[in-house]
Amino acid sequence: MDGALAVAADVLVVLGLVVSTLGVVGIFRMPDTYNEIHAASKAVVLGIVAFLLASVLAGGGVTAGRAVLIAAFLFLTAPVSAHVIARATWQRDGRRRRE
Amino acid sequence: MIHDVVFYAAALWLTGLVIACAVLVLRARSTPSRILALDTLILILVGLLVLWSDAEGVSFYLDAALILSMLAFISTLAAARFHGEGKVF
Repeated sequence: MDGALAVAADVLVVLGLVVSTLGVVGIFRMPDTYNEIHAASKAVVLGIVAFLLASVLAGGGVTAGRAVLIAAFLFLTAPVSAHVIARATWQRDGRRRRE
Repeated sequence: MIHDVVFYAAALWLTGLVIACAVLVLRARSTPSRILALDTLILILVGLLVLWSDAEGVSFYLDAALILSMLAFISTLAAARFHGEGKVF
């Protein structure tokens, strides 16, 4: 049982690495700020949530409360920050169009 | 044993991602993409702290991770609003 949990934690760590790397590669490859937000804001948060899940699985129940707190906070704030960045881009573009 | 190998490889890889995000912050084409790259950098640092607390078996790193994610959210909000509207509030 313990070995299975450790293997599951390792698999989750590798999954989180792959997903976060895809997010960063997306920022490098995308041509526009909107596309960069589209690539990064979801992928990196999901990678960190995979790390948190691995931490809960490997460390027993000690860290579960704080891990759930961090995951909930990230799920609440990541869409807000992505929206705020997109809104700032849009407002700057509109001001440039009007001038 | 394999857990240690996975942890050290993941920590090295995340450090590489932090360096890549620092390059992105320095070479971004516009201010919003610079804000986005900085936000991503701090979130990857949060992931590194979570991984570190898992490896050391110390749960205090998770408090630092929570505070760092709050700080990333507030700073992104303030910087993006200042860039878009010219004022924060």
